[in-house]
This record gives sequence, structure tokens and C-alpha cells, in this order.
Amino acid sequence: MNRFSWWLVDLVSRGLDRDERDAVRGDLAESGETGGQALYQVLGLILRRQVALWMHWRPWTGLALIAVPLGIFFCAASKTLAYGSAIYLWLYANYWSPVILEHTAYRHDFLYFVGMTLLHYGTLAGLAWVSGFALGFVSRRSLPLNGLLFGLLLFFSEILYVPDSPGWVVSAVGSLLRFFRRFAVDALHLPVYGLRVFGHNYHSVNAVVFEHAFYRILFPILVQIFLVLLPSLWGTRQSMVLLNRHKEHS
Amino acid sequence: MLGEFEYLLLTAAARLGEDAYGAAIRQEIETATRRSCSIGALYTTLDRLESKGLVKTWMGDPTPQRGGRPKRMVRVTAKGIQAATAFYDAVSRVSRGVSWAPNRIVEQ
Repeated sequence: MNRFSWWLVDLVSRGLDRDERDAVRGDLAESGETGGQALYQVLGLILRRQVALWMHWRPWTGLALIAVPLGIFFCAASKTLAYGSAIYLWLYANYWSPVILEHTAYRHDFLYFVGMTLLHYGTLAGLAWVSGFALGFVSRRSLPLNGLLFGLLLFFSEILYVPDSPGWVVSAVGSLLRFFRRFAVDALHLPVYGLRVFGHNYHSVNAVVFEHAFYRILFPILVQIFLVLLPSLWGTRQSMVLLNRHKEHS
Repeated sequence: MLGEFEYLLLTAAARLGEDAYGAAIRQEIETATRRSCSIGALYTTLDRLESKGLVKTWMGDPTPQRGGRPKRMVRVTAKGIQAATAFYDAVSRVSRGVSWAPNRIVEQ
């Protein structure tokens, strides 16, 4: 238990600057605190640091301009992408035939689907990386809260999942999404096949696909984890490394 | 004007002199006040005092009893000494004549 507490101390103390982390861990070791007491002390310090930090404009900028809008955007975009590609995935998985590769028109359709899906997935992952990088860069010290909020917003619709009406995400943030959609669909060519039917009782149109829990629930979550969450965490980590390197040199 | 905890921290650091650092100051405050002193309060107050120019802090050398981790050393500046003196004088003046002060006689 004590070892677990000290492991938690190590983990949470990463929320402190390196010099302060070393000094605090040294003080705790010297004072002979138990793991539980040490954890309480470190959490208290982090809480005080966060409260002081949120008195300034910078973390609020990260919250208002990056964490909240992009969390909502990636939630809707990743679900749209997942649902759109799930239909074709289901189609090819259930009706696969060698004829698809032999016949020119079928082959063209199949390769177009594979190519566009990879392009869209790559675009989404790339945008997530950039967003994570920006979030880490703008709100480095307030990252625990901003990152948590970004993650909650990303998975929000999955946690409070309403099976037959994914369009509530769009209607709730309609104007924001229209703004992003102009860039995401027109400029970055995110899939239009999903967005066009989004909000038009999407699941009932393709009920045969979405009656499977895999396509309805698990697949969108996998897309959110692998194409948004992990790339954004990677981007955040990269910005941290860059900032720490810059700090060491200056 | 200093806050109560700021004064305690400055006084503890001044008493410790060259040996003033996080854990030692914390121990000194706990011994004097007979109350626990959280690391959060200590380090955030240290930052505040440093930003006011009342103390100067720097990272010291790592020691084995601290698991090879460095200390955050503290030195009270001249401005800090002035602020602590002003606080002490104010507390002494305002305490004269009250029942809990050692000298209850009001100076004329």
C-alpha cells in the first residue's frame, strides 16, 4: 500500500516543475512521511498551484480556444468519420467477394474507399496531434485540467450515449460545428458521406449496420482513442519536450 | 504588511541562516507553532515572498538522506528583514496593554 502511495506521489508530482518536484520529493523523504501523507502533501501543493494559475488569462485561453471547442469538434468529427466508414466496413466485411478486386468498377470503388478512409483517418490524427501540441504549448502548467476537459468532451457523447440520435451533438453546438465544418469538409476533405446524413435519423437509415454494438459503440470509441486521444497525447508530449529543452537552454 | 504565515516563514528562515531550506523551515515552523505546516502552504508562500523580493531561493546540492534530491535553499533579503521587523514592531505595539502580552503596562 505504501509503495503504491509513493508510486502515486511520483505520478502526481509530475504536475510540478522539475526543480520543485525534486525539492518537494527530497523534503518528503527527509521528513520521513508515509506514502499517504506524502500524497496528501503533494496533492495539496498541486491544488494550490492550479488555483493560483487559473487566476491568470493564459489557462483560460487554452480552455476557451483549444480544450473546449476542439474537444467538441473532435467528438463530432470522429463519430462522423467512424459512422461513415463503419457502413462501408460492414458492407465489405459481410459481402466480400473476389469479384470486387477483379471487376474494374468494384475495384475502383473499393480502392477509393480504402484510400479516402486512410486519408481521412490520417487527417483526423494529424489534426489531433496539432491540437495536443497547441494545448501543451499554450497551457503547459494548466494541462492537467485542460487535458481532462478535452478528454471528457471527446468522450462525452459516448459516456451519455443516446443510441438513435447522434445528431444531438451537432444540434447542441450547431453554429460551432458549421464553422469548423467549412474547414474540415471543404478544406481538409473530411468525409461528407457521414455529415450529409448526420442529423437525419442516421442510425435508422443504416439500421442493419448499427444494430451491431461493434459498429454502433465500440468502433467509434476505437476511432476516438486511436485517432484522437493518442495522437493528441503524443502532440502534447512533444510540446512538453520542446518547452523543457528550450527552458534548459535559456 | 506581511501576513502571519509569511512572517513565520521569514523568521524561521532567518533563524536557520545558511541552513534554511524547505524541510528545515517547515520543521522550524511546526516546532514553534505546534501545528502542522503543509508543503503546499510553504512553497506557495515562498514563491510569493520571492516575487516580493523578501527572500531569495536557489537549488542546492543533492544529499543522500534526501534520496539524492536537491534542496530549495532560502535566504532572507535586506528587504525581507525590514518587512519582518516592521511586522514584529506592529504586533508588539498593538499587543501592549492587553491581557495576553507579557508587559501589560501601557506606555504614556
